[in-house]
Amino acid sequence: MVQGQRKGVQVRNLTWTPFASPKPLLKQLTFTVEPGERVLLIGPSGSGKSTLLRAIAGVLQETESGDLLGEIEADSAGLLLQDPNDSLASDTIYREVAFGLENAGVGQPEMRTRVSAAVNSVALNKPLGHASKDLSGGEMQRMAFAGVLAMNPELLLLDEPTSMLDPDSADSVRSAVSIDLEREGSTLIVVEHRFEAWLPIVNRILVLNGDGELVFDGEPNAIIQNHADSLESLGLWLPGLSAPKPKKIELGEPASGQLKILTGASGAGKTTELKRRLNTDSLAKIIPTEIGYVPQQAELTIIGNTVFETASMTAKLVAKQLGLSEVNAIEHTRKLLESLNLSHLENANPYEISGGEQRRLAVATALAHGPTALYLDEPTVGQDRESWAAILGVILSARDSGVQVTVATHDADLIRFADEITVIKPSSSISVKDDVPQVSGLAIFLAPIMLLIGSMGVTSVSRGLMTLAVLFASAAILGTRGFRIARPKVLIPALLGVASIGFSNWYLSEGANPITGLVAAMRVATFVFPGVLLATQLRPIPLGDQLGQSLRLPARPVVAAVAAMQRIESLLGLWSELRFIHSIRGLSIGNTPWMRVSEFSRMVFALLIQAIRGAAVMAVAMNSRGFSAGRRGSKRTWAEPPKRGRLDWLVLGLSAIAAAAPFLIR
Amino acid sequence: MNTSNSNQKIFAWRGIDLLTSAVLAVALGVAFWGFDVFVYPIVGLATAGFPPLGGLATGVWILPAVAGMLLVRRPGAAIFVEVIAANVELALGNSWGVTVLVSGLLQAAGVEIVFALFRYRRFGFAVAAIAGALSAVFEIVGYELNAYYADYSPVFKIVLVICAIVSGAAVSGGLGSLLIRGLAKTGVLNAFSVGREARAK
Repeated sequence: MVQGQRKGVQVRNLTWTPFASPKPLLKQLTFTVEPGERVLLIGPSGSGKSTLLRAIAGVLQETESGDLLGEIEADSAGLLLQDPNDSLASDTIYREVAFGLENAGVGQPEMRTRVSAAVNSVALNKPLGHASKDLSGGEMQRMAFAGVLAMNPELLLLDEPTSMLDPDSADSVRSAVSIDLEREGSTLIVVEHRFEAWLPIVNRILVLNGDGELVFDGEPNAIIQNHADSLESLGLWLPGLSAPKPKKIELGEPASGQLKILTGASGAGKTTELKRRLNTDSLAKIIPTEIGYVPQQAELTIIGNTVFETASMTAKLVAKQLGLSEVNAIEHTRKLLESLNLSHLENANPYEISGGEQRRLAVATALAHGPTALYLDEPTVGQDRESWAAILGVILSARDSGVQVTVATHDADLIRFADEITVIKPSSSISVKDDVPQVSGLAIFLAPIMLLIGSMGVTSVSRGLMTLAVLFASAAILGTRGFRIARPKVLIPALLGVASIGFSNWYLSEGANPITGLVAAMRVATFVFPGVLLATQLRPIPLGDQLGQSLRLPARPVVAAVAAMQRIESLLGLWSELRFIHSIRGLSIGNTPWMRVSEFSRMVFALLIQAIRGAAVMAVAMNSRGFSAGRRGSKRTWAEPPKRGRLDWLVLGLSAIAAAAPFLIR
Repeated sequence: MNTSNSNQKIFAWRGIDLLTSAVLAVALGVAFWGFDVFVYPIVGLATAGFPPLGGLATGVWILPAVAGMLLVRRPGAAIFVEVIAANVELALGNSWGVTVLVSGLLQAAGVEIVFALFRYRRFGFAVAAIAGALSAVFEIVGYELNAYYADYSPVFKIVLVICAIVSGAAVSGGLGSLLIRGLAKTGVLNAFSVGREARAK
């Protein structure tokens, strides 16, 4: 890129008011960033830093609704988000990094060069075919950064890129950033709460206040020295300033509890270990509500329409079970909310408060019903100083009133208060990419559909036997060619389904003829069993490649569908996490049908909310790499050609024979 | 500058339309799997004695198509969401194998036709219920009566169709509408017309 053509960033009178919000989140912002400048953007949580980055990246209006006033001009930007999991669009390192290039219509030869170059420049020493999900936190974030770099952006926008990482992983990400800055002379705007380690890299600081106004702008040292008091009063983590004193809070009679800390590198398994301890805690099994739990995704604990309802629900339930009045429960909840600086939000919609506020709400929620053991996963991430002191205060006062507290964290200031520290070492996991399916997408669909058509010919017992015989022979042939049934259990529902068809067609047919039922069962069996077996071969990525390239279906819907299908596992995990949280909050499955249905509805609702919020962040991550509508000129390319399954033609051929079989005899 | 009207060009899907509806489909697929664990044992017991009553469950499988349409309000939304949900069902294991895709396409077609007749401008309870009902007719008459229940006597066929229509209207149309409205009220759908309408009231 030629320096002279670049314009940096120009923001004039920018005001953003989110839909249904009474006041603007960003207010009358005006500033210019020259090409090559490196800017640190700081401000208390909720000051609109992320929103500003999204606006500069040009994805704000594509993903959120609201009123945007003013003007923004910016060079081509690459946006890196806090959690690299949100950016995942595919399965391997190669395809993740290539995603933006596919959207830009880059051809495969050039794509290979640019992907390798980007991966090398972030020092990610893994094969390009490595499964992206099996990377550690720091590696995954560097992979996401490589995906940004591959597009040769002139402007790097980094949104808390290291806040979820342990110190070493954070270093690795920062050094990847500074190497690129040295080499390319890109412009940088980085947002980070704990920003000390970025100071050697940046040469300018912008400070937003809680009202989304630009309050300071200048050279880093000057800003920090001249405005230390104002910055501290905004709750910012100034370098050299020691962690604040935990807030003094009293939650109950003094008793001896313990604070146990689990720490270790990002991705080493802190969360897994915390959950293991939680699950083996005997109390969790006997009296679930004796446990309090703050998950890493704190918003999962939200139940109900207001902050107060969420925090007090379990406390009220427990009081009711013990036959006590709700007054104490309500008072205790209020006290916790006040301690955590949430009193003013009691009636707010819990889904619309900031992430930091949701985390504090989760802490209040976990303690409101007076549990005897408390488990917290990264409770201090993204908190400003005042909130940090409040959370620490609540944790310590819980301990001092006899609660056994276990915390998974990489926050050094929090670790200092531990009574016991366990360092989790990463277990060397062997990562194997999903086995290549033997039968690929289109054959998986076409074969059973041929059999469905053929099944119309199964009108007598002899025709049914003939077809089933051909199918058994086919299965045997496929078996000799290496086709294996991975999970024979998948056949059980199909077996039940076929049996019920046979049964009902027998006694609901005219004259209740058992032969009729038998023929119906055979007819259905000819397409159901092969269909169920072939479905086990279904893999979203190869299917997407075939649909997009071989069938030339519109690329963007295919890509969106594949990216969403890749999320099945994480959504299943979310479902069981929700179930667990609900159970320790006293919302049991219950025995009556009504209780079951109502708990099921609550679960579905909570799952959908999380899924939709996840989709919005995915949209930010994917749109910032060119996945948005309206760029009709360039045609999207694909990182890899479609792969046919080894047994595709054989399966199709055998299915054709089986489909014809019933018509061959009288 | 008001950017709220995402529906000006109903054929031009935004990135967030595609991703949110696709993820909604996958999440509903996961919820179905949960339904099998939590609720279906009750429904299954209740209808085991008289299979045509099983038609009352038809609306559950149509719900993604209706919910998808109510969410993005664009032609093709029902097909897109229903086909993905069917694929999730396949991936998690189901009774009927790949032919659920045939069902899915038929069901989605029923929903698309009704919303198209209202020119993709009306998304109230009534239209959703009609869409669910037509979809159920497509599924039962176009598919299940041929593939699964060809030998039922006419009376039982009619009972099955009626049960399915009721379920299509009430479960997919009614519950589908309630679900999307409920989500809209929490604010997570603010990027969509349905979300803004719910919050504007």
